[in-house]
Amino acid sequence: MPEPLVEVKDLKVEFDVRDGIVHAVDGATFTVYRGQTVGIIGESGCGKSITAKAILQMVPRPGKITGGEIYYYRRVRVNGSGETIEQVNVRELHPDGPEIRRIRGGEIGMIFQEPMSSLTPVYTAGSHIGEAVTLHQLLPVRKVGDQIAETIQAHRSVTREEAREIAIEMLRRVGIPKPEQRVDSYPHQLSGGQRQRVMIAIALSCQPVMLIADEPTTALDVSIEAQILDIMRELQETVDMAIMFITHNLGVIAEMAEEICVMYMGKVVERANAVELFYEPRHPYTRDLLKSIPKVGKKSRERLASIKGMVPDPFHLPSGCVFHPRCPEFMPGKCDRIEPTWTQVGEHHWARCLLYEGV
Amino acid sequence: MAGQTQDNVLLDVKGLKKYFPIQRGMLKRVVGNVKAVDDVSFYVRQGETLGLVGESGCGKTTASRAVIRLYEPTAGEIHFKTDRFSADGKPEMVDVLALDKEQMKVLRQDISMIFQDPIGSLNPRMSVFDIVAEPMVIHGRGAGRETEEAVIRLLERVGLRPEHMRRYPHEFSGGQRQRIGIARALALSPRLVFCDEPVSALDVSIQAQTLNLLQDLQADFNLSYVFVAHDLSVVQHISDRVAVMYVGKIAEMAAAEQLYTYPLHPYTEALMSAVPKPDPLYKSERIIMQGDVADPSNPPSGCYFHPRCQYAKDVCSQQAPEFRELKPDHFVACHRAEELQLKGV
Repeated sequence: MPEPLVEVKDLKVEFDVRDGIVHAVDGATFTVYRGQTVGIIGESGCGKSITAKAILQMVPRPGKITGGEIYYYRRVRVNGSGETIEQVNVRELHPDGPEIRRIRGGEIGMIFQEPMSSLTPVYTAGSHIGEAVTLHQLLPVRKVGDQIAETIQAHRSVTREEAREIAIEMLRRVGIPKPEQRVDSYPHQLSGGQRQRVMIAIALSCQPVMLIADEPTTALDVSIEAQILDIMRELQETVDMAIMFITHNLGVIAEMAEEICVMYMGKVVERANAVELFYEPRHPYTRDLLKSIPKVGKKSRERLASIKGMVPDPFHLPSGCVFHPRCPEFMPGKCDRIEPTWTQVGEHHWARCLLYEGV
Repeated sequence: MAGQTQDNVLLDVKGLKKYFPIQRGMLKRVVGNVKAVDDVSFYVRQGETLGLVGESGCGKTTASRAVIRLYEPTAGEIHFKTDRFSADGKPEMVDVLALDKEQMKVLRQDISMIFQDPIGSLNPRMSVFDIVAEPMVIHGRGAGRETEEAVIRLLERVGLRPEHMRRYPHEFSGGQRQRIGIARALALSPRLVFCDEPVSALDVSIQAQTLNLLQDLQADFNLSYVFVAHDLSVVQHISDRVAVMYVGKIAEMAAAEQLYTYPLHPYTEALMSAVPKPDPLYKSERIIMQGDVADPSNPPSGCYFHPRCQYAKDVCSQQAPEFRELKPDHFVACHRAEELQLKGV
């Protein structure tokens, strides 16, 4: 029986902006099990990154979690008699409180898209480097080794020297050559691929039980992407860590994930194990998405199937099923009126589509 | 090049080099060169698409910009077939590098570009009408009502509506902005369009629409494309022939299917094996290239790929391989191309 690690139930995140309210996440439901890789796939603006941030109470302002539950299940040692599971209700934690800080970056690590590109040049070495910064950004003005060591010290009781030793060991494990020297490099002295390795080293340095990887290879070249994906898989095998892998790249997700959630306009519209999702997709959006990518090795110059129209305006969402204006299976009078619910369509396969609700 | 099928060639590039000098000190002494494009030869036939793939910094964008002299080439020959300079109206091969500024302007009506960033490449202060009409204004084509009709035709052709003409770029989605860029590129009815990563900033579903549109336009207007991209599956999908670049040089060039099925260069093989396949049951036998892409200002000796090549022998680190036609219309620069049995996809 797989042991749940993070459970997200009907999560809602809203952004109250000048032009109205954007429902960035509108009913996301899924579970990440211990040691499992869950992929979240979707186009830009579908809410996949916000979902990940919500798990760590990192929704940027003016965003707010307005509904649903997020549970984190922590293994706790009990005197003498092994372990017990403690349920942590993440939604109730204060975003700056000590409890979420223990989880964020400690028990749940994270890596984001190319770290250098999100850098603000105005940070100085002395400014608040605490977790929030070191966790998901590399500071340009500080040595990478110090940044790793700092994260380690924030979450584990080790001395400075020990932290440095662990940092060197982590750099070696993510495949950085000559880690004893590289530990004293500044981020700009490293290539994009190496910086992403450093980010992985930082994320893994506290031995997290789960890693949230948000488009970790999107900014990298294919040869470097292959290296990074390999390292992530290798590390996962050795440390029994769950991964939540967020990407828009169907090739990457097929390779990494055991379980896949497809998101569209803030909703998880389908969820299944990877093989079933790729071979027997049930939601029309998933089907169209899979058909619309050119595949290496297929005959060239054939026309691609494309999804008609475009992603709707978040301030004026279509009625009923949000996908209905683009859907090839559109049933007039139904899809534009009734909002589909989360329906089980196979043994371990769910979809949000009226086709499976018998209406 | 011997044996090359030269009929119908629209663009012929031979030995193209573009070096960027590295300057130091107050006197701007040149201490070295970044060999962004280093002895590159390729050709494009009328109505076909040549894909130019490679990792970032391999010189694919620089090569395409040097061809239209947005960067002045350091060396090489560029010939382009056009009727703009011939007295009898028959198309002839023109030596592009011999043209003066005025003539270059005339030639640029035949060659246009589509850029990667659909936001950055459109002036936010210009309406869609002004953006699409600008090339016509600059080249003195049409006026008033005529221009407006032409713009409307172009917008409709790329899937936008005439009323979009009065709006500004920020009012459009990424996919629509790319359509505006395409309409502008077609404004002067060019023969050749350089497409520089035109779909890499777009979402999957929009990417498919845009690729289909580019193919339709090619068929309608008998356009030739040079399609620069890093995504191998996109390049294979749209290209008739593909050139793979590595650190300023073309490693291999062949018909798309030939190249993907029977690669002759180890870099092509490794690059293709590295692309994640959208199939969870696919057993990947991935060749992991060690290390990073070579530095074009300080490339390795011999074959630039040899430090990352699993087949490298002594000769590879000593001598630069020649770019040669090993099979008809299949060019490769590798010492061991004859003996290696490489895997395609």
